Amino acid sequence: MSAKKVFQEAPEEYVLPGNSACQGCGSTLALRWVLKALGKKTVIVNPASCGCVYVGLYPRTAISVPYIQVAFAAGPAAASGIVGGLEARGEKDVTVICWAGDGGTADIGVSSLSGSAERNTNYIYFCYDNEAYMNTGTQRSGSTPAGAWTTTTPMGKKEGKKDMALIMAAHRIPYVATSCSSYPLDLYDKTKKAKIIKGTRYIHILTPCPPGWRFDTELTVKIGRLAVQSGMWLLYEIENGVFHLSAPSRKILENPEKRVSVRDYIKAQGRFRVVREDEIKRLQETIDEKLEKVAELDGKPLFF
Amino acid sequence: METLILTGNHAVAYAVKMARVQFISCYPITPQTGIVEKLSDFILNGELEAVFVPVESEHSAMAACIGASLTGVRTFTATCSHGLAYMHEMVHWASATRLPIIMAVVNRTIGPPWNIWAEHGDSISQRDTGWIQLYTSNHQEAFDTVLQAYKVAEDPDVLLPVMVCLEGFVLSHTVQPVVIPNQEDVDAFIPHEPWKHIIIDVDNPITHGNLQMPEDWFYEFRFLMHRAMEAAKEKIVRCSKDFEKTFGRNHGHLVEEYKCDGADVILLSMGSLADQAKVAVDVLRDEGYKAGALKLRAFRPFPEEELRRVAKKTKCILVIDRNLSPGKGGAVASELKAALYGFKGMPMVLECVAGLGGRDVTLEEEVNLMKQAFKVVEEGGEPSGIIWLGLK
Amino acid sequence: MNGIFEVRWHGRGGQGIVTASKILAIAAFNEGFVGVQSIPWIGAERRGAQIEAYNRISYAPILLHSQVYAPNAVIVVDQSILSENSSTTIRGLKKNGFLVLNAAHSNVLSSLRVPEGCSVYVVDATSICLELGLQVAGLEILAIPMLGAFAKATDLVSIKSLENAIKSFFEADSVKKNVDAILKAYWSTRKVHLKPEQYLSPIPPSKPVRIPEIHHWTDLPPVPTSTPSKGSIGKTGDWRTHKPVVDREKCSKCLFCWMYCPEAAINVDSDGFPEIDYDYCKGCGVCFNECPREAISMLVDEK
Repeated sequence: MSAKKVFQEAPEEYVLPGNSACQGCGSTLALRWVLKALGKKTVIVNPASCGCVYVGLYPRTAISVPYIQVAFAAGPAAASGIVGGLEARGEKDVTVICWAGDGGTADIGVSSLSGSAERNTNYIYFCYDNEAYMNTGTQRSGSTPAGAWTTTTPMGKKEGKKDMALIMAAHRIPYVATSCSSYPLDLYDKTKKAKIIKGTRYIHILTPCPPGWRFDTELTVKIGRLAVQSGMWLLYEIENGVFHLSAPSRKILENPEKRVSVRDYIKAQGRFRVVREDEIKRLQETIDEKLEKVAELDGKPLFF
Repeated sequence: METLILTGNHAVAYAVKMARVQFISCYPITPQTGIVEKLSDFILNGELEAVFVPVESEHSAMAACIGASLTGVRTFTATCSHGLAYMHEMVHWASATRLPIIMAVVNRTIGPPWNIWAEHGDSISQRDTGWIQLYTSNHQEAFDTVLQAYKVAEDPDVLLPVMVCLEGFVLSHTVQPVVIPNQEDVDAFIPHEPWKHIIIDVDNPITHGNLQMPEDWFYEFRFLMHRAMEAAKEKIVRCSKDFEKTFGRNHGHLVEEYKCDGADVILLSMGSLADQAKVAVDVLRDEGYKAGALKLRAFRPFPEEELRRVAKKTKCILVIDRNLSPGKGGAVASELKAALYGFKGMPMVLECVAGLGGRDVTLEEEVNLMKQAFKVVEEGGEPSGIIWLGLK
Repeated sequence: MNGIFEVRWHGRGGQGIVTASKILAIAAFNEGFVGVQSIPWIGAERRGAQIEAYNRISYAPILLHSQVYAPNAVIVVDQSILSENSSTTIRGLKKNGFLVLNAAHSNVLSSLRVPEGCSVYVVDATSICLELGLQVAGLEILAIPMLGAFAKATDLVSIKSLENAIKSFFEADSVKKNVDAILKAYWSTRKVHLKPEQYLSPIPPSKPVRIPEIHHWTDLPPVPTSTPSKGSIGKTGDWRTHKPVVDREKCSKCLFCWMYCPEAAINVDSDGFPEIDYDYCKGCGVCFNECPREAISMLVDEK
């Protein structure tokens, strides 16, 4: 689908301009497209994150569907309550989603998220992943990748990134997908697909963050594209346990010449300034190996 | 109308069923578990039509109740002790969102060491969260108070959540007769006008929780919560009177007096000890002591005016607290003294901390304790610190 | 100097005014002032939005902890702020105070109004940052050279004290750049004389009123809820330093710019061309970077 076609299909904006997101925010771009796919009958639960701030100040909001802010660890449980309340009210055509950051997902909220998935709560959980606690000024999270500078990892994070999408897939929920704010149409399609599935659905979106990742605001979309084109971030779906690579990631597997080096991705961002050349080389090898394995997995069930 | 012999936990569960609660979310913890187990049975056998969400923590239980209550449905949870402490953040969230959630707190100690028995410290430590707290003395009162709690919480002038507190094991696991009213009478008393307090409505989208700057209205919203608490005082009294009209039972309104007129010493306490205090007063009256008992039903809102009214009648109020703030003492004594201070004709206040960790408090101990107070009064003495009942 | 000297900084998120106000506090302490304070203004606004920071400087320990309302000096590090809201910028500025500006254009200076007796100083901080490469994540750290301009204007802190403060604040490899910026600014700061009619009575200090439609607590519902509207934080077009301009000759109406706009500030007109909503466009430049036809250019936003 082209941008033009989607404009005809979903011209309505549910994220209104004049909000308090940073210039070039990847998260608001992603939320724009999620809401275009879901439409008016959507309820959002937003645990503590940038999302609590960028909607604007009382008594105005940038989001034109119900948007309920809750405490950090409470997102999925509050969503469970809303799903239950709507069920008790007999409202059947409302989509409940949780819109949480990576800290709220991978760290403080993981227990609540896991509980909701184990109960197969009928909602869609979106993690917008800017790979650190950006709302509090860039501290490391479980989702911060190795090598990244944050204010609490001044020499770069030693440990790797927690793989939330696979953790969620291990809950055997009906739909898990990854996406990136630089691929709005991919995100739009996946969200539309998720909307009609029942049970817990999980979509993990990489959303580049100019102040936290240290790059110029105009590069938000480009940096996310480099993440995917280098294989640092994979776009895929796990539908009823079967793994499918999405087109942008399949493209770099099928056409190695379309791949960009990990180095290009790393060097485009100030947060990786402490990463040494030998570390980049090792990272490149890891990614190469990962892509080989992923190519074998494509189209196959992920779990026994 | 029928009379059943029920545990305190089951009395609460029956009240929740009769209140036609539509959403329940709970996490197991001793000694509360009996409430949710009974509610699960009610749902299974079709006696209660409610969505039941068995969550993975108390924090999530309250979060789920908040979510459900935002859609306008009648909501219930129960917890105690560590569960309540773990829930604490969301306890604040519920009241500041002005949601009429009802929570039974089956009062239990907080460890370590592990101890599952009765103490009021768990709910007392939630004092500043903006929840109404009603303490009950027996099974019937626990049942009746749950029904009253919905009426008060859902009042448009109140819109605050309510904790209905009953002591673990002492009330939760013992059995006593409980009069179960007719469903029509309950429906008339707390009619469920569906979805009056809706915040989530896709046709009228709002955002809840938006940041407010220091110069905005945060301070005023907290002031409104305080006003709602003040309004709740009158609503609790009115609700209690209405309840008596319909069901013929009265457990006191904010406070319950027992032979306070002409009493030289009044024993003030909450929960099961307040029931027992009436017996102690009878024993003492038989022996010629001018004794009275006062039950504190509402700890929040704190009924300062009522307490002063009763205090004027006596020479001494002896407070038994089943809770302890190390470095200060019992909460009821502290708050009572603050309420009396600076007003004319106020009596001496003696404070006693008793029954921590579920340590049993006997009738004899209560009687002797009051005799101690009479001695201080007769000798014209002054308070001399906390009386530690039965300290070994 | 008697009493407390108060300073208010005006800038945009990312231009370093909070850092600079801390450095000024350290420098003033080095200079012998026993009482120094740096106060960041904590708001919801993000990178690009207008923010403020404050200083207090005194020979005696400072016991005040409230905000600064009537400053002796106002430092404006981003000239577009002054041209947008000069009355906000100089609000509360005392008589005989100091106004220290970054590279104000002559047309800004000619329309400037200041309290009587005020001294106005100007420096080209933007050029200094560009020349020295004093930038972080694409934004010039304009507040650093403004420290030099402040020193020149007020004579409260010496270059030496500022230099020592910089050394204690930054890692060794970035000290030189910052010190050079201060030095360059110090030597190029000049005093500007305004026309007599540009001096007025001071604008009284005021607490900001952000929500004019609510006057009293009786106007409030029990539960604070917010209603959707454009500009939930205001007209964010004023965050912009550069504006995207669409060349319709080159535009193929592919709508990539519309698709990728994080702000939803690009509409589509009846002919299918993208139309930028300058009231709200924050000027991030994503559309400029993503346009496959290079039909969008980023021009300095004169406003």
